[in-house]
Amino acid sequence: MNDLWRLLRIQLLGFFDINIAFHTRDRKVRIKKLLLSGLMLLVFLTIMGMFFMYSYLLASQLKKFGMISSMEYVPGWMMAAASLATFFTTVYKTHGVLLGFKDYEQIMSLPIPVETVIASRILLLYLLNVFYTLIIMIPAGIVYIMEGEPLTSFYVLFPVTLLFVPLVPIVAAAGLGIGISMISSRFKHRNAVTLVTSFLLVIGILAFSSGAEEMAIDFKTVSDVIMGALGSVYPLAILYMRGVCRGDWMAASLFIGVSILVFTGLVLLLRKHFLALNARMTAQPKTADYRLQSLKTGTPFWALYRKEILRYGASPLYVLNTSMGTVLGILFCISFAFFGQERTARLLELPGGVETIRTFAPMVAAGFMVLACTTDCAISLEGKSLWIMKSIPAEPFTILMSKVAVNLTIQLPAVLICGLSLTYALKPGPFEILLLFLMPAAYGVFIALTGLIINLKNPNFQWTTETVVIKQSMAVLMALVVGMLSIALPVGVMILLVYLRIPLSALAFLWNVTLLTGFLDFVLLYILKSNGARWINAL
Amino acid sequence: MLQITNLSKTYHGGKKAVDGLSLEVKAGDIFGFIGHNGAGKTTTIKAMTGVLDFEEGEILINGTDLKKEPVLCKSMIAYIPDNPDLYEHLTGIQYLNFIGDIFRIPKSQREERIQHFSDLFELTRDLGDLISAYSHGMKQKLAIISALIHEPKLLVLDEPFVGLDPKAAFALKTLMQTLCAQGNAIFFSTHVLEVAEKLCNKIAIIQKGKLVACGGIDEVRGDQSLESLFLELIKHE
Repeated sequence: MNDLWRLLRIQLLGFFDINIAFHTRDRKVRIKKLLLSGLMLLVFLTIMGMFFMYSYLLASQLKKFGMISSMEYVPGWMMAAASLATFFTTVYKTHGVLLGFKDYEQIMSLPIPVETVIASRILLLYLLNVFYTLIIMIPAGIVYIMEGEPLTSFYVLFPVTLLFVPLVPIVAAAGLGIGISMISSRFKHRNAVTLVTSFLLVIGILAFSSGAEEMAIDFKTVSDVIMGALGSVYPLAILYMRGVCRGDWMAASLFIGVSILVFTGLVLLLRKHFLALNARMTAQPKTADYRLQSLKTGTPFWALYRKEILRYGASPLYVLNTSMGTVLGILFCISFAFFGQERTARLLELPGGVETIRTFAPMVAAGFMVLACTTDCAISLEGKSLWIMKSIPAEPFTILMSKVAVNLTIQLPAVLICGLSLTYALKPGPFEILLLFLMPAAYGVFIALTGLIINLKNPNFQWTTETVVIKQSMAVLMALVVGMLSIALPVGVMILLVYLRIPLSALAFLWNVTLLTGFLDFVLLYILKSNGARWINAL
Repeated sequence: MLQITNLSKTYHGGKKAVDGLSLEVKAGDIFGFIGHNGAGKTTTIKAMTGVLDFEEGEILINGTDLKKEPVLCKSMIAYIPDNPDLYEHLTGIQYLNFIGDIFRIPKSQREERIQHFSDLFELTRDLGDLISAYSHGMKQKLAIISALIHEPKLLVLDEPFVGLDPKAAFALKTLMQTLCAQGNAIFFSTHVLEVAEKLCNKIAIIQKGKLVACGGIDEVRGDQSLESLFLELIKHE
């Protein structure tokens, strides 16, 4: 047990910077880390607030249609949402956290039973997911208490079952993650196989759940429809709802029992195959004996850019995490062109219908661009190889621009595809067409530069698994918040102007936002040019 | 070739790793830098290769100020760290070609040197593999090849013989001597005093960030062995 706690502690210390905050001799670093931890807490509280709002809106809708007895759908839907979130975030963590982790050899050489090592890895995944579940579920529980007249049993079953909610999604995700890794390990280009499989999976699940949403959109129909929709998203949610909200102890016990049983299955399976699975995952394909061939030469920028692109492609987690927004943007814009504006407006039930879509189309495309960027962890990913970047005779600005170029390589084709699709669908005027391309492009450059600056000021080189920097680092979180704010602020101002009945040309407003973003891009570029060398030196 | 004047480096938190260090390495020198763990060897090396920023002092590479002209200085240096953490996502040949592009080595010379050094260190047949599949020794060899292909004026090595097989270690020692005979300079840190004694014409001993001995090897050690001198200096601390 002590060993289990020790192993878990080591991993948790690696995931968060608490250890650095408490043990550094540098007061500045300590204060910075503590402040950032406070900021992170604030972000999590904000996310909880958003889930509270969402749950509350759902409850209001149910109330509006006189379905107070169906208020149990609030925790039901949120449980399904938490389970899906667990599933999606865990699939990509399987390789890196559960298996094939970087300090595998070091850990396995310790005089600790393999079972303890396995338990520590599973427990880490579990704890992280319980945390996410709490963020989503606690607001839903509060809304249900406020609006749903819960039974007494709810106060016991809700907190108890919270601990079991992530179990089945973890098992499903781990099974799939292991499956993908095993299949891809048979191929020479294993990363490409992993990427294609993962993208197909995500798009498939999204298509499936959007179909389910379409079914669930009509709240006026009988609750059986909602129940059916919920069941199609996540069947266990119905069992959970019956148990927790209707006080059905049998259903609650069944939910807990199924969760424990499935989870135990994963533990047993891992116990049996842990060494073999790791050996398979960490094995490197050996190519035939190399013979020196003619080499392609290029400029230092080209060499750095090629190195960055290869780094990007070498990590399926990095690609998936940073290009999903762009891919979704492309899919959205293409399907928009395919369905046409009237049908899309109807499907999305937007107030203002087609006109709203026409007005906000450039903003929507820009929104997809700022969902994620490659630069907010590009510095941290240098890891222990940082010495190369610092010792080569290349201008610091060139090094930094090679990282920005990777982001643009992914986003600019997407801007082009989205722009063309939206132009085809909306058939707008020349100034609107220009905006459809310029606004997402300006935002793409903005998030790439902002992400890079944030990472330069908040690097983390002491990671043992890429997940820590790609998904959970402070820099990534900060870039995400800045990206969302960069969209939310102009939209907020626009809504405010409309609310205050101030005459407004939407086209002129969006042009101003685009020009301002473009101006900010130049400012950020200037900041990087003048401070880049100093910031790199300070790393 | 290398002139360090009054170098000091204090880490965040107040720890002074290097304190007023001055030394000079001339063309043709093989300069051994000796000190026990935590004495400030790696900090000094990282500062002189531009990896680590420093507050006080001046470092000149072939007469050029490292602070003022970092890119020019780095183009004259090759640095091999004690732990060769290279880009694991690249293959060996991709890494060497990357270094070739950065140092702007012409294509024909690049190919010729890669072939020569990778044959010498018996790494040619593994160059098509990802670096992540390399052993520690293979990574060390690749780092050495990448350092040699751009013919540096100053070769800086941190514990270069750790992880090398005897044949590769011998090849490296021979290369170090050849490079110096051609008018270049070598600065390397080591714990292995016998190697320093046999290979270097100059040595410096660092203790708690300060130089406690520096000069020609015969001048520094006098009648005693380097090991005895080193142990004596440490005892006095």
